[in-house]
Amino acid sequence: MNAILILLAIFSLTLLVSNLDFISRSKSFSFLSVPLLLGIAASPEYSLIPLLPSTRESLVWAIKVAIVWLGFLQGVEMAAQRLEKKKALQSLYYWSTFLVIAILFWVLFESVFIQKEFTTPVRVNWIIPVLFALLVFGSQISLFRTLLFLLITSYFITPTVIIPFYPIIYAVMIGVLLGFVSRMIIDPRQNLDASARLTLLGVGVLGAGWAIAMGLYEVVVGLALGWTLTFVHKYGICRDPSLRKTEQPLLFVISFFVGSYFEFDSWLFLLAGVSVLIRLLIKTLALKKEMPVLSIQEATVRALPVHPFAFVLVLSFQLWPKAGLQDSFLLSIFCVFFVINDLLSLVSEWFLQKEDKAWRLQ
Amino acid sequence: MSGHGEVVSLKIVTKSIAAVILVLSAFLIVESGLTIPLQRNSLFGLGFLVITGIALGRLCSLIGLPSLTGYLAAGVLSGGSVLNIVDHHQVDQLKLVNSLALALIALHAGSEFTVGMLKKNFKTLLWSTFFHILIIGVGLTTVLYFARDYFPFLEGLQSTMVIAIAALYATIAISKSPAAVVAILGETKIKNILSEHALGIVVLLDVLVLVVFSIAITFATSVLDPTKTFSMVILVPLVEEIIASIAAGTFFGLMIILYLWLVSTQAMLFVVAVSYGVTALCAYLHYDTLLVFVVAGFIVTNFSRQSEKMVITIESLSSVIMILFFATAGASLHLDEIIKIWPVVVGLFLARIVLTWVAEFGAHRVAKSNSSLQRYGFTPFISQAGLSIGLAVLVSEKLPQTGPAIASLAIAVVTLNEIFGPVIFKWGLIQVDRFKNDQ
Repeated sequence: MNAILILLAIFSLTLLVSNLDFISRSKSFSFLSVPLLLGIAASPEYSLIPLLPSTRESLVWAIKVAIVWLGFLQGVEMAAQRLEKKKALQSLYYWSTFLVIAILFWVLFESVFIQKEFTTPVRVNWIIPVLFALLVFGSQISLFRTLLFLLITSYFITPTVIIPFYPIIYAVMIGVLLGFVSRMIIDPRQNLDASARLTLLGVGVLGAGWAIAMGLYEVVVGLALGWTLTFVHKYGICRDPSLRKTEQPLLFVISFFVGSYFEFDSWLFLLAGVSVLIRLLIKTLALKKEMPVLSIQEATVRALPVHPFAFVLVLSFQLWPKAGLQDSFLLSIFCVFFVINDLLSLVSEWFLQKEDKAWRLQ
Repeated sequence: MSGHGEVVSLKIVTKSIAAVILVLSAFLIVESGLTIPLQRNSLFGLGFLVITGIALGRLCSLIGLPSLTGYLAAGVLSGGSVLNIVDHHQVDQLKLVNSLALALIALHAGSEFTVGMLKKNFKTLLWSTFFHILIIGVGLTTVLYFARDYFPFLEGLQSTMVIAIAALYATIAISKSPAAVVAILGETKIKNILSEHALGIVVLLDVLVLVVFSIAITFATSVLDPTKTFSMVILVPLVEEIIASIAAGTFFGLMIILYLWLVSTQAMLFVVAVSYGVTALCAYLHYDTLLVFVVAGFIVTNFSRQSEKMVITIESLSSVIMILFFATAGASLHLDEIIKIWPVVVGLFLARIVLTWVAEFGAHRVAKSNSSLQRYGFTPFISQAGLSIGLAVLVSEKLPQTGPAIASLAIAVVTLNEIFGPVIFKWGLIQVDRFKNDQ
């Protein structure tokens, strides 16, 4: 009963906030911050809302199904993306700059914090994936970026090189298989009727169950399923707009759950704040180079948004059995990063709107 | 046409079955070749049940059987008796789905009743209910009494004890399956005198069978255990429970009307939330869940203009619900129980069909109903499901010595009724339609 009340509270509050006059006009502010903050308040560490870890764990199976479903929707979207030479070159410039900064950052942490025994060596190892994750979470997310994020984060927390590939490769294979299975059951001429919906639901649940059984990434199963089904089905039912309607409510729930795993650490704010600034700086410069007509403020507003799929990736990683539920460092830093980023979005957009108003009055 | 209203061809059936075989083969290959042990879980089982249910439901539609039989077959195939992809423990974990399904089925059944329909069929409903309790109750008690040598658990017992146990078994046999009736009516979309009659009886009997069962179990306990006495006082809380259920149903019906009238949006979410919430409340307050939802559906249909909105919402959920409900029911069937004592089980299964036919024939003769009802009126009442199994489990708990044996026997017969019942009902519905057209 608690869990249902909490979910109702998230929906109500998010709806309330999203209807506030200024925020509803904002383009870069993400409403996912609201359930995220509520999730943090409900986390066992703060317990402002009584969400016990046992209640949370009893709902994990449903969250995993939601992750597969959101992965499926994202896979459908990714299948429509085309690789362009110009874009690839632009991102190469962006990635290489970020990589240099990430390495510098890592060296700095290695030299400062290990000597002072400020934190454990394992956590220092996390700096690379964390910075990498924040880089990956742009306003758009491609299949390539997602897989890269999962591979690198898995690599940094598992002792051998082969194991990180296992949950990804098997998950891709299962997703592809389920994509073909869906294609066999759903006729290409069929609309998104009750039977097709039921098949997608069944296949999604099957994928989640299979991923749990083998300890794989549910999100990869979903991505591969969506990508394959779109590919073999020539879009067909995947084009149906009602499919995407399920995305927003599920994202609210996912962001709430991300918040509920938050664990406070003294240097989270430092690392998250620095990450936001570095990301913002590089992205703004890249945008200014791409579109010189943009003012700094406009480029900033455009550079700030983080794709909501980042929540799915972070939670999927958190719930991966080999990641260990004890260490929610990546997730915690993401929470702080996202909230700071969203606040910055709100402030910069407020300034932009104010400037716009003044210009109109003139 | 399949259960979802789609046109089924041989090509699509073949492809669907091939898809299931593909998933199964891949799973078995991974399971046998992997060094890391696979943790079978209820989610995998649920997903497998859905796709197998779709495939076998389509196959059944193609050969003229109800899709429901395909869903049950999917459950049997995936269950502990055959492939063991969904074991009995996982079926228990899927009870959350079943409670939602039962609530929606009852709400739908209730919405089918109108005051006019009840007035028109009042006499027939009354006579049929009476004849079902009398003929099946007395008939099966007599069958068991005279065939007691074939049942090891009745050996060496006094005649009174045999009669008490036989009457208890007969009470379980009286119960029907409202879920199967609603599912077949939803699939075939046939509306005729048999469909109206079937719905009325299954709902009425569902309530009355609880009263009869309470009397039978108290009687059996007092006969088998001399320290306990038989008293009709046990009926007082039961009657209170029924009255409270009707009151609760009325309240929830009015709540649904209010929501659909004032808010109307997100009706699906509302119906699902109400179904879960009210089911939990009924379990806590010991109300009859089915009766509560039937009354709620009846109130919405007869005292507002919101019935259409509610029925559309339920129907949009029903394809998912039916497949899960019946596939999990199939997975929980105990085929091994039938194999052990199959001659006795088949005998009792046939005896129940004959007695149901006699009860319906007699009732329609007395009530002077349509002659097609006299012939095919028995067909909706062969199916048995959750309620019957629930009563059998209760017998097993209340009578520690003979109870488990009675429960095993009852569950074995219920298994056959659950498999063949929907097929017989679909046939009956089509025959009544033909009969009407011929006239």
